[in-house]
Amino acid sequence: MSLEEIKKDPFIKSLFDEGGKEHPSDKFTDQIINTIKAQSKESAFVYTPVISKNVWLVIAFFGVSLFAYLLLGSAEQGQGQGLNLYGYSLNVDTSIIKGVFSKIAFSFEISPILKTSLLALIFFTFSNLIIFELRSRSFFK
Amino acid sequence: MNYREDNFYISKVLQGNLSSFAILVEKHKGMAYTLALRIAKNQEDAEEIAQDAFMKVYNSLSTFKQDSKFTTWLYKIIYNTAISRFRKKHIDSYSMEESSMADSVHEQDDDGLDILHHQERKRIISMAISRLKEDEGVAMTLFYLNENSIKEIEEITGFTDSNIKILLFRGRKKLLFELKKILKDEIVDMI
Repeated sequence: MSLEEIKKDPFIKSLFDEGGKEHPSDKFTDQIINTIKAQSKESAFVYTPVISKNVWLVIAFFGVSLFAYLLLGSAEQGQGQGLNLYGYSLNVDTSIIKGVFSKIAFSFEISPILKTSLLALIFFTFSNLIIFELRSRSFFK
Repeated sequence: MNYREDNFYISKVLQGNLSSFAILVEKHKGMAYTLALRIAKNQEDAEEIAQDAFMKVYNSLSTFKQDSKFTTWLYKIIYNTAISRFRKKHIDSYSMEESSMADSVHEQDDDGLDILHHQERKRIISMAISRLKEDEGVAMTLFYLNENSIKEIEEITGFTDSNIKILLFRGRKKLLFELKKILKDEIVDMI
């Protein structure tokens, strides 16, 4: 039987015409539209990091540098080349760090109390930044 | 309701008009659901498949080339969504000669159906169509009900020209066989 004959088959055609299309539930279209609305609401709240990756890197670099400088950079105030902090001494070669800071012409004298305060402040700032970032991530999940 | 051309609604949807998409869904939901039902074989799954497909259509409408036929694209998405849920079955090779049996039952079924009421006839026909294999059901529905060409069915299903012809032959035979069987059962039940 040729294709034309299949097509012209009036009986089969009439069966399909009489059977007609099936009908989905009355809520069919509404459900789709509601899903789209919900989807667009979700996409309006897509998570974007408060602090971008690059900013994090810069903050981390300065934080670690300052932290290292406060811990090790002022070692020369103590005993020789070693690190001397609150009575505990550690023989660490701090020349590299000092070299870095001398290159950027950044040198100042700070008291142990100020040093402790700055370390605490750096720690506090960093831990709060991390907590804030994690909380904002979980909020958008 | 008198609908306008699909491209009219598509342009509106792309401009952010959601109610135009609702009209587009209303316009095509019947055929979309029918195709999904041919594969899913149950109403719940068919409705889910059709809804999923419409969501895919909405989300990728910007990629649709408006110079091509929207319904072909839509039915392709419906078909692929349905098939990805229900594993695609291999089309068995079918001998064209086997269709001769189907022709012999034509007359009897026609007479049997004539004496039934419209609703009853519709129920029996739908039952017989639902007993077709998934791919046969899709090919027959697109060809006979929606009057798609073989080329369009090729685009929608991804089958070759000869595969579609085989599906149509096989579908015809199966449909007539099932119809005869249902009518026999109904008569036996009546007696």
